Amino acid sequence: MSIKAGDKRSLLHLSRESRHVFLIYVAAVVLIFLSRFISASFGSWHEISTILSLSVFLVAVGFGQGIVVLLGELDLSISSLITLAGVLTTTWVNSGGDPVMGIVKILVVVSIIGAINGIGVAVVGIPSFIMTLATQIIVYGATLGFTGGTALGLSPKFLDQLMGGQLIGIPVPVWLVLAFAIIGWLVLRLTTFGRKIYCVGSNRTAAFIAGLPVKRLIILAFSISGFSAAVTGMLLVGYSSGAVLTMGDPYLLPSIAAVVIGGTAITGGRGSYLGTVGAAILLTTVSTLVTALGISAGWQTFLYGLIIFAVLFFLRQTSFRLTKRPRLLQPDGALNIPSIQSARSVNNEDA
Amino acid sequence: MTVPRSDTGMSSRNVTWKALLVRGLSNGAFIALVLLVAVFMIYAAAATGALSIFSLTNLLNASTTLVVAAVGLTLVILTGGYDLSVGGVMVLSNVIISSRGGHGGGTVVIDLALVMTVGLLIGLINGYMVGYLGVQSIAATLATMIMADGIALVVQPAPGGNVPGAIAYGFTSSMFGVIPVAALIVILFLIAWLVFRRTPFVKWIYAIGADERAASQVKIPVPRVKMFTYGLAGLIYGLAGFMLSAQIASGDPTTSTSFVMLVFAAVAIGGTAFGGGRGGVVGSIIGAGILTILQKMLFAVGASSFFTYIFEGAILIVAVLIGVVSNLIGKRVQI
Repeated sequence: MSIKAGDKRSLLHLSRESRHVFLIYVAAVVLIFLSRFISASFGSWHEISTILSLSVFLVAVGFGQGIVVLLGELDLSISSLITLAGVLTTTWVNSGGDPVMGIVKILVVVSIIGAINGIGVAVVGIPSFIMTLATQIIVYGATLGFTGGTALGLSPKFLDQLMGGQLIGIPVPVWLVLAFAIIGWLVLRLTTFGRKIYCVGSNRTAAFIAGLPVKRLIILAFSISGFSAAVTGMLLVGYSSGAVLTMGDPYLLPSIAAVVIGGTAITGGRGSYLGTVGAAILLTTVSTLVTALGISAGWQTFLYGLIIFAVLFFLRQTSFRLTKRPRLLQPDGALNIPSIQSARSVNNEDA
Repeated sequence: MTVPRSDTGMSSRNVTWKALLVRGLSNGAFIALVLLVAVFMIYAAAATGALSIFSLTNLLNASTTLVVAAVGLTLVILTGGYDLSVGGVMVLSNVIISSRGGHGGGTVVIDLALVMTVGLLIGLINGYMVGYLGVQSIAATLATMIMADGIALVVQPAPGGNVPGAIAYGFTSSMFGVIPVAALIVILFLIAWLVFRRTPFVKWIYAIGADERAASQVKIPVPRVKMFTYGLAGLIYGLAGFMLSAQIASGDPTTSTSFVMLVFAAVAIGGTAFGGGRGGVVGSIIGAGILTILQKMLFAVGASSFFTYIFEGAILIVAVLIGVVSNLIGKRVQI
């Protein structure tokens, strides 16, 4: 009895964010266990490592998307950037010459496109939703023109080997997930860059007054998003041994879902990469399970949505009950300082 | 559009032409209207026979779906939320109608009631999650959108089906041979907005979008307003799905994501700010018109497909850029 009470208190003492991240991983583990009821092969080590391997794409692209969302923006261009990087990988890297040079070239090109997104958002003042949507459409058109409609070419050998290989009995993609998680966590938590991103995300006006280079940080965040989309595109090419013109599309909404389910606030300033990684694994688990059920595509999609819905529902429920806050504060407990922006926009209404 | 306020601080006798000009240039809806006229003139010049009654009706028919959906989404965006379920509800409504494949006049009413109920239900679920449980709108509506997509695929696994003639012809033809039904629907929405925008409910929507905490401190029932806003939006998406069915005359369960992007773009071009509190339905209606004309124009010009994409993206930026500039003008003058 007393131990139980102690447990509960310790859960309370976890910060709201850490508890959310913790519960995301719990949800993923619970789902994997539940899956044993469906088929005996589930929950086996092989199955788990397959799920983890598959989640590497969402984990990678979720890093960039996560940083952009932390700033209170969105990046819708990643689907086309993944495709572009994939198509370029099968052409530039394979065309002879130094493959390392090819990879560097692709990373630079795609990061620059990301930076253009950032310039449009930070300097010109176009809403990120529209700016990145436009980039998505334009880059898709350019990729279509570049390939002439069909993406040909095979993946470079070393990428095949990387994505199919094993290290100490564990598939390389699983190591990559681990590496991304650690690097991403370190970058956001222990570098000044990470701190600045959180600052700008939670209150852009305050960050500007405090002397942070807000515009430069936003541009940098979008180019990091482009960079991680490029990495994702290359990994996808290695995994599926080729590039297709639609290869990035299945990652657009899931990347946002992973970030948001992982506990990052869409309004910016709050969230962690570990949450995104957990949600990416969770989403991959759900889609793998749903596919294995052997039901029609419609029911698969429905169940996928339903499980996401349930996760959202239960995670909010727990956090609601455990923290009793006065209703005057926002339900998520954020300190909502009415910024200059909103004060000004109220004045603007009569225009 | 603007928040209606009794004290505008600028009494009518002080209004000069310059002030009017500044007001116009800093009004998103007005700017969008100018853009609409410009785009339409280019379209009329580029496409032969663009000004005939036939092609005008055609254009209006093509735009109603987007117009109606954009009206619904605007309400949600004004509260500061995102609603991705717009695509799911539209596609679900579409396949419900096409798979029922009824006949006669009664089907129209039943179909309409059915899809609006479905939309309302999905919207209320969204609203409950967002308003009462505090789930982030983009996540909650993404989940319901995926679910609606799934059900749409269950109802009708592949594109096809048959929309009742009463809907397909009745809502794309002209009344008395001159007034397109589509135009009537757009006008109906405009009137409804002009009537309802001065009600407390719509004022609350703006207040929540501008500053949610302040809104709840002045005793605005934030959760309830949010729930009904999402519900109302869902109902309107159902109607948009109905208009979509009338327009394409068949069912397609696979197009929801592309709709989502298009509807959001229409709202943004119309000058409604993501984040809430600023903008309005009139702008979104005009924004939807702009996007429709653009698509028609690209089709009429016959650009090769990859140029079409690049052009479409560029136009999107330009359209929003004009809005950004107009906003800047407004701010310059205010400070």
